Order: sequence, then structure tokens, then C-alpha cells
Amino acid sequence: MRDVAQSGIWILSLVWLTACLSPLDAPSAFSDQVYLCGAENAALEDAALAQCRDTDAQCEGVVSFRGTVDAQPVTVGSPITHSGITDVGRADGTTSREIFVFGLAPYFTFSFDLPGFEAPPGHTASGLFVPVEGVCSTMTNQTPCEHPVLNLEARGGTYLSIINGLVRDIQIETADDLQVYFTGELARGGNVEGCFHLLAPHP
Amino acid sequence: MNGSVRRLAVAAAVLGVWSGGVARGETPAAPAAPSVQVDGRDVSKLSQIEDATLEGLLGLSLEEQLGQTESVSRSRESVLRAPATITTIDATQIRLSGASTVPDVLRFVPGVTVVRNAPGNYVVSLRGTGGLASNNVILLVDGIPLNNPLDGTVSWDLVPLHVEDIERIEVVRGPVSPTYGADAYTGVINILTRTSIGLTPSYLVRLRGGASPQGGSAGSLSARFVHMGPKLELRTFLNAVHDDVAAAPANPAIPATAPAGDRLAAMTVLSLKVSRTSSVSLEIGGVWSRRSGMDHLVLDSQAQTQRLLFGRALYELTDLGGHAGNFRLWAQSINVEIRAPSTAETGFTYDGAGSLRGAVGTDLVFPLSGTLSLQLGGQGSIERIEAPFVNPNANRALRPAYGFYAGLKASPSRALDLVVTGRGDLVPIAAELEYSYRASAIYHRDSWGLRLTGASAFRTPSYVEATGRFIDPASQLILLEGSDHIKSPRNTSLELGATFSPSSRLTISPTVYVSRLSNLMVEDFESLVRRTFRNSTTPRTFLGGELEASWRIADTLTVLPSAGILQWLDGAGEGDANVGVPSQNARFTGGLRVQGVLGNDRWGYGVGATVASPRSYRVRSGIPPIVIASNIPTTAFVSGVLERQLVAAPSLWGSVRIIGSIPGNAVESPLPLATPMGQSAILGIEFRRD
Repeated sequence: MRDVAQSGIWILSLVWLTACLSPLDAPSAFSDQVYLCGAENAALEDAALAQCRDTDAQCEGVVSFRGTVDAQPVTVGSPITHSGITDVGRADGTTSREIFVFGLAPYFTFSFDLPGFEAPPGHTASGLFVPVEGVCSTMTNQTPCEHPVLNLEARGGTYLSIINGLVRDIQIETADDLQVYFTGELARGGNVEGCFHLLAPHP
Repeated sequence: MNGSVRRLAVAAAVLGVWSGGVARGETPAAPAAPSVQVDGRDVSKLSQIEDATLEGLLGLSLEEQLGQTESVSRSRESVLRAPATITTIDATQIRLSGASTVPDVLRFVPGVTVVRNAPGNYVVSLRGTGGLASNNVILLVDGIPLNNPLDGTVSWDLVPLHVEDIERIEVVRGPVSPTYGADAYTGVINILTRTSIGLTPSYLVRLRGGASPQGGSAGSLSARFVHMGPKLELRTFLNAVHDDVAAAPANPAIPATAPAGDRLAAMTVLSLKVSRTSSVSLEIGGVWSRRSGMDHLVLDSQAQTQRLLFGRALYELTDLGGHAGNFRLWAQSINVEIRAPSTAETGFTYDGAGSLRGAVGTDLVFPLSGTLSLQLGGQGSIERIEAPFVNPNANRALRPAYGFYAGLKASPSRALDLVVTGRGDLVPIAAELEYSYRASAIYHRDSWGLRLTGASAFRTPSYVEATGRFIDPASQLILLEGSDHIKSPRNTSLELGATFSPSSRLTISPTVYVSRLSNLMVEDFESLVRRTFRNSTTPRTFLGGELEASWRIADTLTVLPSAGILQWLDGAGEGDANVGVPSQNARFTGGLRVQGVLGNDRWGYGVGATVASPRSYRVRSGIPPIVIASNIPTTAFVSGVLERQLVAAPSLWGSVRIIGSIPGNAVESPLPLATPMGQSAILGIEFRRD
């Protein structure tokens, strides 16, 4: 009896000692993403832009955002895979301008759509100049907004979701490259802050 | 059930000659068995005495009739006094069911749901966990778990035995994690390999072949050798199966055809009795299987090849006397490799997935006194997985897990048993202590027994659910990703079971229970931002009732009815989790078998049918996902067999089997490319030497 009990206890002890359990670490792919906006991340953004300029792949700049979307924490840093500027002439002779940038998140592709800018008369769509005065902002209320200022459109797999956002603030830093900083609350809950840096086209 | 062998086995059980429980032998025409004496009479010669008469002569109680099991507590105990609901299907019942696969045999067990996706591809679930996922039950072969360590799924094509080389199938329904640890949260299905009641070697060669009116063929070639010597026991099983029955989808507009279910399997058990109280055994097996890989993530009917290797070494000390009861030390391992070449038309596949688990453990039983015994046990294991669709952090890493359990059994009176078992498990995915417990009170008399059991058990999230990362090769987007924050699904239940025997010919076992499933797994394809696995926030509670009976009207006629009902107490979260959804579970399942032997055991027959009430599915499934909307009407499965001994010496048997469904082209799986249940007629011939 004693031998059996001792053997059993030894084996059980061995069983317990053979394993030192470590928790499984399988973070989401968002944890591999880098937020590129803000002065504190300027070096990261510069590096990403340098990589974008050097790559042979389609890259027109960088776009990044973070926040909470669909109740999940989200961080994205992506090259701008393509972009577009669309001008629509108004009856009063002014031009309404809309800017699109497209990027790639781990789980979805997305586009930011900033409509409602005003371009100066005679300005052509090939340029990236956007007057600061033309920004429609719900915060500053300088110009009434006919449309949501920012649309985040995301596609993943077979799904399409348009996440409308009301942008609180947009800062356009330069008129050479186009740099836009934004923060906003999303119509279906959540919020994002981010930026995109659209490189000027090569001459 | 063959009369003469059963009589012999009954006598052997009473005498304690054969310690493996009530023997349920096959049907030899002239059994060459040793003489067995009862009160100076050779009962092995009493072949003309009817079973009931003999049992009355021997004074068998209900407990002795039901036999013994190790599937509930991992220690030998009687079925009547086991602290869980258990159904035992013996070799004769299996053979005379006419079924050719284990899942088809399980259709006759109340509380069990079987869905055929394609030839060789089945999903089996217990008690309200019907759905698309197949990782909610544990499959054991001689106590060795064969679930894939990667995702916990059961591949029924990897059962290494011909269905008629199974001695018994024991289905334990309800939470059994206190004994088996993680994953035994709805029950276990334990397949026990064939033994022999004679001391002389027995062997068998079996050839089957048939065809289906829908096209396709089915056949098998199998053999077994069993030698149960006084010191040495050797059992070897070989099995080759081809199943191409009804491989095309029911919808003729769908051109895809599932590959045939093909299997090659071999298994050997070698046991050596070292002394009166000690023995060692080695059990190894391997299976190569090819079938459709279709499941809830793989919607294509593409071919998938699996290779299974498993083994166990066991050292056992039994009946040591005094306070030293039983001691068991074991080491076991399983390795599964999957190949499923992808094609341009195919989404996700399991190609390149491999998993390995090795475990060492011990089980000890100490009789503290005449009325009190203590059971202790523990196990440690190492797992390694490798798959292209797993988070790189988890791939190719060795991960340990361990568990410890303790149980106390008290018998304050001769008719009452109180059993309490608790267990703690540290598993790599949960990374926190998971508990499970069971408390039972069993009151039993000569002809009836009552059992009240409360239990809670869990299933650990699988590596796929915790660490999977399924990437679309075209867009490089992650289509579905596991989460390391998910909790273990849990099943907590309270059940009241009874078994009574109004006469020696009739046994009835009703069970009622209430179960609560919580933290069920959700494949959340809805979220755009991150499609991942998560826990359902809505527990499901349901009432269930199960009934099974065995009525041996005569030696030539046994009737075996069974039925199960489910009544959901809440429908919240409908369509949310991948199992436990009310509409995906048949509210009623029922079965009836009639079987017997005739003509001095030279004829055997059996016919049976099961029916399942309608189910409906509205789920997103597959990678990339699609919406599956499917209504499964009431379907019935029918099977039958007629066998006859053609030549007495050597013993040569012929048989014809039919398997089919009503309606004839019924499909019981909601998957878009699922094939019908199929119909086939199979002729067989086998040579036996028992």
C-alpha cells in the first residue's frame, strides 16, 4: 500500500512539475500595426514615407488611424494604395472637391472620403492644393456641411460597410504634399483619429 | 444476441471468471469454450435452456445483467451504480443493427445526433450541441482519446476498427470532465476493441461489397486475430474500407462530387499479465483516411487525407487488497497530419495541419474502508501544433497542460452510493484553472436503480478558435482570426435517471435532465473590423428526456426502442453560437431496432430505423463565409441485416445488409455541397474461428 501510494504521489508530482504553463499569446493582427500620426510618431511616418517612395509597389503616401470601430480597438498604418480627387462644378461657378484615399488594414480594405471641400475657381483636379478656408468642419462650423465630412468605407471578404463619421477637426498642413489630420466620431458608434499623407505626384 | 455464448458469458460473469463485465459474445455456431461450472453443473452445455431461465437459475440481479464499465470514472464499476447516464451497445447489437459505421450505430442512442456530410464524413453531437462544429464530444478507443489536438474535432473515419470488431460502444451522456478533463463537457463515446471469451485463439476474415442506386459502391476487407491467453493477450485488427455511396449532392444542378471515403487501418493490443495483480499492455494503431474535408469552415467537397498514429502503454495493479486498491500508470500519444491540396476553386483548407499530443498520467483507487473509497488521478501532457493558418506565435511551440482530480465514493448502506468528484485543469489556451465537478447519489435495489447527478464541465477553446489566422490568398486579408481571450464553453447539468427491470426480459432506462450551456463559441463573421471567434453572451438552457429499453421477447426476438426529446427554455441568441442553437437541434429523435437469432443460432437478423424531427439553419459559415440557409425536414435512417451460417466447419457466414434513408434522397447536413444519406445494399461473407 505504501509503495503504491508513494509511487502515485511521485508520479503526480512529476506530472505537476513537468509543465510550467505560460498563457497563450496570440494577439490580433492590429497589434502589428503602427500608428503613424502626431509629432511623437513623426519618425515612424518619415520612415514609412521613405519606404513608400522607394517601393516599386503602388504607394501614394501613408494613411493611419486608431480608435474604436464596431466596439473593437483598431490601429492601422498602411500605404495609400491609390487616391483620387474629384471636382464637381457648382452653379455658382465654384468647385466642390472630394478626396479619396485607399488603404489596407489586416482585416479589411478601407477608403477615406472627404467631400465638401471647395477649390478655387479655375483650379484643376490634377493639383493637390486645397484651401484651408474651404474645409467644412462641424467643430468650427465655418461652412455648413451638406454631407458627412469623412466617410470610412471598409470592405472585407464579401462584406461592405460604410462607417460614416462626423469629423470634429481637420487640419491640412501643407499645400505641397497633402497632409490631413482628423478626429471624429462614427455614426454607428466608436471614434477614430488619424491622418493621411498623400505625396505630391512625381513630375 | 447469440443465445449459447450469452449464456456462457452470463455464467462466466457470475463466477468472476471473466472480469471484463458481462460478456456479449458473437454468434459462433459451435463455441469451443472451456467448461464453466456452477454448483457442479457445466453451464456451458446448457445451450437448450432459454436465457431467462438460466438467468433466473443463476439469480442475476439487474446490476449483474447490465455489466460493468470504466467509461464514467476510469475505474471499474457497475453500469447501474455508475454516476452518469450510460448506454452500452454490445457486439451483437452492433452487428445486427446492419450499420456499417460507428456514427450510424450511434443513431440508435437517445440524445445523440448524427449528421452525414459526405461519405466517411460525419458530425456526431450529444444533448443539444447539434450544429456544424464537430468538437463537442470526446471519442475514445479503449480509453485513448482520438480527437484532433488541433481543433478538438472527431473524424469518425479515423476509427481504426471495422464496426464489427468492436466489443462495446459505451456512450456516456452529460458532463464527464471530472474524469477526462477538458472537452468531455457533453459526454464521451468509448469504443472498446473486440475481445474473446475463449482461451483458444480466434480469428476472422470479412469481405463486404455492395452498391447504391444513386451510384457508387461500398466495400470493406477486414480481419482480426484475438488470443486471450492466461498470461498473454494479443489482439490485432486490420481494416480497409471504401465508401462511395451517394457521393453526389442531391441537387443535380451542382456538379461537384465528394470523393469516396477510403480508409486503411491497423491496430494491435498486447497485454502481459506479470503477476496475479499486475499487468502491462501496449496498444498502438494507425489510420490512413481519405474523404471529403467538408465542414463548417471548409464548404468545398474537396478531398482531404488524414493520417493518424496513436498509442498507449499501460501498467496496472489491481485488487491489491487491504487499503491498496487499484493503481494505473499510463502514457499515450496521438499524432494527426492532414493534407488537402488547395485548388483555385477552393477557399480554406486544412492542408499542412499537424498536431501531436503526448500525455502521462495515473489513476489510483484507495479503499479507505468497507464503505469509503478515494480515487486520485492526474495527467500531464505536451502539445505541439503546426498549421499554416495558425498565428505565428502559437505555431510549432510545445505547450504543456495538466490536470488533477480527486473523488470520494461512500456507500452508507448496501443500496446507496454517494460519489463526489472534482477536477482542476490547467490548459494552455485558457491559461487559468478550469474546474469541473460531479456529485451523484445512486440508490439501487435488485431490480431497479435511481440516480441523481449534478455536474459541470468545460471544453477548452481549440487552437483554431484561439490562434487561427485564416488569410485570403488573393487579398491577403485576414478572413477569420482566433482570439486568445475566449473562455471555455461550459455545460452544467442536473439529471435524474432510472433503470428498472420489471422482468428479467425487460429493462427500461428513462432519464430527464436540465442543461445550461454557456460561453458557447461564436464564429463572428458579422464584425467587419475583425472577424473572430468569441463567446456567446447568451447561455442556453434546455430540458431533455431520454428513454431506452431492451425487451427480449424471446431468444429469437429482441426489441430495442429509444427516444430523446429537447425542450428549450430560452431561445435567446438564436443563430449566434456554432452549436447549442435550438433550431439546429432536432426536438425529437427516436429509434427502434428488432433483432434476434434463429435456427439454432445459424440465422441472425436485425432491422432498425431512427427518425429525427426537422432542423433549420441560418448561419454564416465557410472561409470566405457564405450565408447558409437550410431547412432539414424530418428524416429517417433505416438499416437491416440478414445473416446465415453457410458452412458449419469451417464456420463460414454470408450476409446481406441494407442501409437507406426516408425520403430516399434525404440530405441531413445543411452544408451546400453535402451529399444524401445514401442507400446501399451490401453482400458479405466472413470466415470465423471463435
